[in-house]
Amino acid sequence: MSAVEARGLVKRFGVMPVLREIDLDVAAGEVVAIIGPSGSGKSTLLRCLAGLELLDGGNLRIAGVEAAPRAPLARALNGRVGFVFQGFNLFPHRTALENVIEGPIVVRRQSRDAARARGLALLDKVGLADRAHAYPGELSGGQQQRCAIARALAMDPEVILFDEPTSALDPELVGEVLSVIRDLAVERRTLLIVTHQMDFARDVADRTIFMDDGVIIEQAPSRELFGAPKEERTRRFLGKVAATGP
Amino acid sequence: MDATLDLLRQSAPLLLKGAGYTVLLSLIGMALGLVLGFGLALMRLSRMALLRWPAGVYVSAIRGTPLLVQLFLIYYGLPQFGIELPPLVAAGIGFSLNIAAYACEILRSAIANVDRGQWEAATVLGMSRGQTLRRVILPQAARTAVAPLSNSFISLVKDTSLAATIQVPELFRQTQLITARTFEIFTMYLAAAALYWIVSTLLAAGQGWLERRAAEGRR
Repeated sequence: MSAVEARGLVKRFGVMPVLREIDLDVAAGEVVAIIGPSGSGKSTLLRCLAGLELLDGGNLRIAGVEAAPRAPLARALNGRVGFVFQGFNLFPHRTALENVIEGPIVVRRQSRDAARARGLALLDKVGLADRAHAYPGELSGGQQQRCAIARALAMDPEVILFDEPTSALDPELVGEVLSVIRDLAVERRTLLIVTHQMDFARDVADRTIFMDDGVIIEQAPSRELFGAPKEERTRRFLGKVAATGP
Repeated sequence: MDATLDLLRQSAPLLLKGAGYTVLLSLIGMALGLVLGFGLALMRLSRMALLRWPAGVYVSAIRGTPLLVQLFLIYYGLPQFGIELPPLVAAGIGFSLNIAAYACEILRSAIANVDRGQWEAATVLGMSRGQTLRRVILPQAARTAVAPLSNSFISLVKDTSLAATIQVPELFRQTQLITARTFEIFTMYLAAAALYWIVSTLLAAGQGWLERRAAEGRR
């Protein structure tokens, strides 16, 4: 069963095409990394999948929900697609635990007690059990991102999308977030990760997609794509990244 | 000196009654103005031009004309169309309509200034626009809005003196009446000024308390 089925996705900002006819399939339980230079459209692709951007064309089916072009998808998804932002976007006026239980209580109408119990378990899972009652402003970047991951998990999403989850973090905090994502991969959750962490993509993702200029240039099992890229543009990109470090 | 004290003692009941009207008008104006202003702010932020437009014109018209003229239109102008309002009602309506325009702009900018990522985070959780506004955006916007709203309120307290021109027996009007009788002009207006000052100071203290409370929810 496929969790994501996209055919000919088109997205324009004004007249500028950002996604040109993207086809994408992700199987349930698959972990897919998306890499590429900035401006290649990888974040936009992810945002379209979550309904944060309206599509200008193509067909999309994600988490069992059909998206029509120009129709709002996010409401129909009702939290079934998790999204982890580069900038965390935690609710600053709510504690870590309140952030995690907001969706289950407000959207899923769970009882407060049930949501709290589950929320505490999820915070424990991401290593934040002792910070449950701290406000985001009192947490480090890495802690905030782990809390944001717990918030996404609380909705039992069929797919979780990560939009450069470690790009806003100090280098020493990257590892703790990646290790949480790695745990999710081990559980065989369906993950799509836009990342600049090439080592992580190679080690954790079943498949890596290289995007440039709004199109998918190449995709292959991660070891293959990183070990022996077929396309010239992929080689050039990977060469550049290797030269400047991760 | 004794004569002055006597005068003040005799005037005190009238002045305090006037100050009571001042506070009453301020509270009515602020309360109704806030409700109306919030509605206007939502209209201004709407996706529908049909809602955005009228609200924008309203705000522009109210902010672009003197409050005094607005009060005269309501109290002296409307009777031409058979709408005769008692002074206090006319003033209450006038101040509410006026404050609404300013509150609208304060609330609109406070709401618009909440980071777009907050909307997005709520959206991917499946929250509706209304739920997002109520549970995520407004609590954050309120913090930004408290200080400028309090300033508007304190301005309003002083602006209520304009109601004297449409026969509302508020503080300034009472002072005018007393000076007309006693000719103790300087003393009486000084007393009125002192009362305005006291009222504003008390309200400013209330503002400080509100701001601290709003900040307690953390950033």
